[in-house]
Amino acid sequence: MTFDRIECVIGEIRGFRWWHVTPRGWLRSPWHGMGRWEVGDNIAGCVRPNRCYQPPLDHHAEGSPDIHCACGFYALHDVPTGPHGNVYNVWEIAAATSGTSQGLVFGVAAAHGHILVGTTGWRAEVARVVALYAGLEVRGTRRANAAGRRYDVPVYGNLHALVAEWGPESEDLVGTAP
Amino acid sequence: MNIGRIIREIEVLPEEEPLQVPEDQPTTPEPTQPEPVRRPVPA
Repeated sequence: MTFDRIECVIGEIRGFRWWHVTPRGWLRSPWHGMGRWEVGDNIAGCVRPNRCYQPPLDHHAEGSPDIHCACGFYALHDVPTGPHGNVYNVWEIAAATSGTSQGLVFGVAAAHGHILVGTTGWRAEVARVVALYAGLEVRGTRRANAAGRRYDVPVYGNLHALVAEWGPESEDLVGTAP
Repeated sequence: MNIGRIIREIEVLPEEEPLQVPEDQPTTPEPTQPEPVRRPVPA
């Protein structure tokens, strides 16, 4: 599947996502490659043939994300509330569990460059950390605060406040789709 | 991971920072002074 026309948009798009957070406040992509996010813009590279190793490979002629692959930085249009039915999606972890013993922290990413928009989220070429939700546990709060300092982003103790301030305007991306 | 059915392909260009030019700084170069004509020096 390919699109005849690539639309151009000025600005950036935002989405919700999970990161693995280390005790020293580094954020990593939690499921593929465990690539560490740097402060500021991060540029995607496909790690599919060697998902467990870095650095990523650049084997797509047009770069990442490739429409026929699964690469790119991921985010969701909406806050996940937990698994639904029999469809298991690793992203579908309730955002309220951010900062608990699973070692994940929830937040908002912003992206630009080449982006594939799906019905529930997007995959992007360039992404950065924008804001984090600390959750309710002390250890999670400590780690999220360390990440907030490292990435120079706000850390919220209230999920509704995070969504209100930084939530994506997904209707703009999905609502007018062909 | 799943972002659902792909419905759009977009190129998002970041907004560029406006060029900061101090008000008292000219944006075009001053015209250069013509070089003085050298007169031949008698030997």
